[in-house]
Amino acid sequence: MKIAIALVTFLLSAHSFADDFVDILLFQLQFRYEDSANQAIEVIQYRTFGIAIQPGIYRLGLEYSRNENETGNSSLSVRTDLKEYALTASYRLLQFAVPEKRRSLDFLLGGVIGTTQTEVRTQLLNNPSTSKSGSNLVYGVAASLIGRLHYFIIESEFKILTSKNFSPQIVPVAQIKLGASIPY
Amino acid sequence: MIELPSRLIILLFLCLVFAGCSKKSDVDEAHGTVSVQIPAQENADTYRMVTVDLIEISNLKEVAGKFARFFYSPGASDSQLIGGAPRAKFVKSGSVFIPTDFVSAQMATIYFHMQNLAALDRQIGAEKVNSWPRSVGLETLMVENGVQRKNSAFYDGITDAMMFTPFTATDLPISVNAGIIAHEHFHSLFFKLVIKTALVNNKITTGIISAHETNFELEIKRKMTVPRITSEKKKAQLFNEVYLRGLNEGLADFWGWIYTDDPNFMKWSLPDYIKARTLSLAAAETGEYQTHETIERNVDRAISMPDEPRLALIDDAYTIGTPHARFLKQWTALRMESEKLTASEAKKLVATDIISHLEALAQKIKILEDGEMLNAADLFENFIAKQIERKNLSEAACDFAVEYLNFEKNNDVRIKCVKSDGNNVVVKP
Repeated sequence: MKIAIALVTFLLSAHSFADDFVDILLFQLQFRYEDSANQAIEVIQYRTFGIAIQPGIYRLGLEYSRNENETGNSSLSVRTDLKEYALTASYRLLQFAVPEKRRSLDFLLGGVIGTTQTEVRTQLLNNPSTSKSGSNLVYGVAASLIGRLHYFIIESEFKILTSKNFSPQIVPVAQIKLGASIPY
Repeated sequence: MIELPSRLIILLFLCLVFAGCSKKSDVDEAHGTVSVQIPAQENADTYRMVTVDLIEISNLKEVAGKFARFFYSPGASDSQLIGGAPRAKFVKSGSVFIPTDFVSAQMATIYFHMQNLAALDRQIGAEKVNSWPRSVGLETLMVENGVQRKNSAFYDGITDAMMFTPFTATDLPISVNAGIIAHEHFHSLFFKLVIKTALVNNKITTGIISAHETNFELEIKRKMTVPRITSEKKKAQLFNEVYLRGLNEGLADFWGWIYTDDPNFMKWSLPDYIKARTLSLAAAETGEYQTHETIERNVDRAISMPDEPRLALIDDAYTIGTPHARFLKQWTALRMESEKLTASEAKKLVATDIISHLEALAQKIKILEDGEMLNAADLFENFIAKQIERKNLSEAACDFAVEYLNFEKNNDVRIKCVKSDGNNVVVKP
């Protein structure tokens, strides 16, 4: 975290507003509409971190998402830990920019590809047992709206993801990302 | 500025096609024999996660197949459960499916036990009693006297389903307790072999005959509108209900033991019951059981009380049943020793005898006169007589048997164990 702040401060002092950016998206809220442990399809929150680079009209993002869940009681509990790494390649379709005021609004469309893996830890009468699923491919499409003001970025993204590991297999994802946008 | 190059359109299109044509999930593809990881009882002292095969699975997402089908928080319509199936979630680790939530773990575990109990039914000649797949209700919501029922399981004869209510305690959930699942399964056999006959022939007045069965108190309250028991016929009906309920509970506990080899299988989930329900027979209790006279006395006392008599007799199910279960467990051990059987063989032989006994009991019920009560020592006498008939009663078994035959009998009519043509037999003085 300290390194990230130092890097941002350095870059902010060195560059002016531009068309090319490195985005560090530390604060994210990701919601997926999928099967929950409550026998219903519910909105489930994931923890997500990501960075992206946007040279001009292209954007490449790397994202790490995680969701942990526990059901059962103290004698028999099942805890799942889903980890996902995804690469997003997007293309800017639309931009409204006011360069002199250092603000812009971009609309991008793209594709997502990555891997997802779930670890299951079952605790039975204090004896733990851990299993891991195989790494499964995850992929889908994404549409995002990115607003930049000076060195701040806010991104709202909507994705449709699919994987053998998901339930249901096709999952809609809505995401809000906040972070620093460093021009280069 | 709008830029829309053709390569982007192609890229998006390909992504959408991939998404639309995604492969079926591992869970969707699984059918037939499926390896899953479940909590299972290894021996009397250990539960652990083990990999087992579920057989004849047709839909792993609902853990449905030849042996069980599940309902989540079901309702009932006439004679069947209604409601949706719970959705099971698994991940595949190697070739094994791992449940990723508690509901899925319950479903896989119950299915496994149902397939084993079906195999046991086949081995003891009871394969035609039940129809398969068995219906199982999870998270069954029941309100009794304004309070939601929890931490229990029961067999409901009307819908022919095994039900589990929400488990909120910290012990091993009932729905993964192998002994309790076997116990509830036995109730389905008893209901079809005995209770149906008793109901049809008007020898009992309620189908609710397991002590922990659904709506017991509600059913009783409904029946309170019925005129109070006054006739000998009604008293006999009540006696028969109490005795059959006790026999049902005792034999169901025995079934839990033969399936798990754990005389205290209840301790994992309901530790408070273990002292009263353990199948370990203390030497001082050998030969003790609720005699005909004791049950009749309790029935008379219940009838004389201002409350509905059935309410006063609820606990009698276990005081009648548990001595039967303990007798049968000891009887199994004695047969194993005297007939040089493995534990598994001895259990199957005794279980086979129980099924025959219940079939015979149903015949007796059919011809029972109005006002006539069942014989509370019937099972003991019947099992001992069978061994004598087989000329297989060992000395130890004979000594054990006479303890029951002589219980609460005066010295002048006490039965003795003697040798006849090299075989042990019991004789009256």
